[in-house]
Amino acid sequence: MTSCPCNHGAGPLGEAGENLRASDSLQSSRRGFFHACIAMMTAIAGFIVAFPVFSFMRLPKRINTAKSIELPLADLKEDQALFFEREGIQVVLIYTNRQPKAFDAACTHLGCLVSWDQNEHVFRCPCHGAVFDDQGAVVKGPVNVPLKKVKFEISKSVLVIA
Amino acid sequence: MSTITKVTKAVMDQVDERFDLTPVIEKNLTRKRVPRTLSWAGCFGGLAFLIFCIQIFTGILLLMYYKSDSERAWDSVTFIKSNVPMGWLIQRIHSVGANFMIALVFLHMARVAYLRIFRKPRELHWISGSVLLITTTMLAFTGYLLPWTQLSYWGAKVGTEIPSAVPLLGEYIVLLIRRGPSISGETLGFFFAMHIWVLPAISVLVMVMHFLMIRRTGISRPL
Repeated sequence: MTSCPCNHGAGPLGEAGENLRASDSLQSSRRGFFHACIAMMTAIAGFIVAFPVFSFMRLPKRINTAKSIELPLADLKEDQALFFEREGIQVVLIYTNRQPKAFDAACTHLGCLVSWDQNEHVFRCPCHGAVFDDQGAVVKGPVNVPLKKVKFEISKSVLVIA
Repeated sequence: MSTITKVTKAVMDQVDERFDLTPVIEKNLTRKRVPRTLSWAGCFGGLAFLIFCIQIFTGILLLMYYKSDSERAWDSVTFIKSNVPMGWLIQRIHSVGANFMIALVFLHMARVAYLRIFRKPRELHWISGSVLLITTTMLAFTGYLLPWTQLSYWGAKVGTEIPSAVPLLGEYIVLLIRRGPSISGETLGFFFAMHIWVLPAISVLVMVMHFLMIRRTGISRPL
């Protein structure tokens, strides 16, 4: 006639009642153990599925990303514009008055790509009608910031945008 | 852990107060009763469905990079395999999964045929299952062309030759499914559309019918 060792708060119990309590607590600890095991296995399985899927959503390796643009000066034609992509930026190269000039082709207003009007020697933005001259300065439009210049070097009659 | 249980219980109580959902879930899922005699072989159909779900999922992932253009298809698959993180794994799961799915569909059919489960009242289960066998095979066949390799090209060539055995219309059917006299970029586009939309949509529709029929007649039990 002893009280339950787990101290359930009940008073002195009979032999049968004690056994019932003891096996109950054993049952529930077993159940807890299996619940923990199932939870752990579910977590591992979830990780095994989630890892490749989340990896797949990461940015892929890109190959042949041009580090620099090299262009022989002989390829440039008067009044003509050339567009390049360099690290996600569209670069426009024009050759006017025997002078090459390079700009970031994104309009300084809202980032649309400007086109080169070779008859009037101006850049025109298709979105809101901004106009820039061949130096990148604003001629007209909703913006007063000139086109961003892109630096380049000329060595051995080859134009290099590093 | 206990907070998760508490939150789940609180949410479910609110849902149950409105929709009485727990008895439905218990009856159909967590406390669903199946015949005591049902063996593990009874899982083949369910496993085939599980692989179908995996195929849908990995297929959607591959679709982010795949290009159904004869000029770029091979390059895009190579890009997935070598440049996309874990792309090799997703691509391999999708291609190997197709084989597993066909194997499981055949095991499922073999069990149903051997135990003669297809008899009345389950004749339509067998017929809808046959339609699913055809769509599964067609899914595997159309998917095989998409990487645009030598193997897939000649596989499609040989496979599309088969309907030419049909009397009178055979040659015309071959032209129709090749979208021209030979395997070309048009064939690729046609197979691609079949592979990602038409066949999966038909499969899902027939699967829903297949599963509802089983629910209605109950799982077969031996005499």
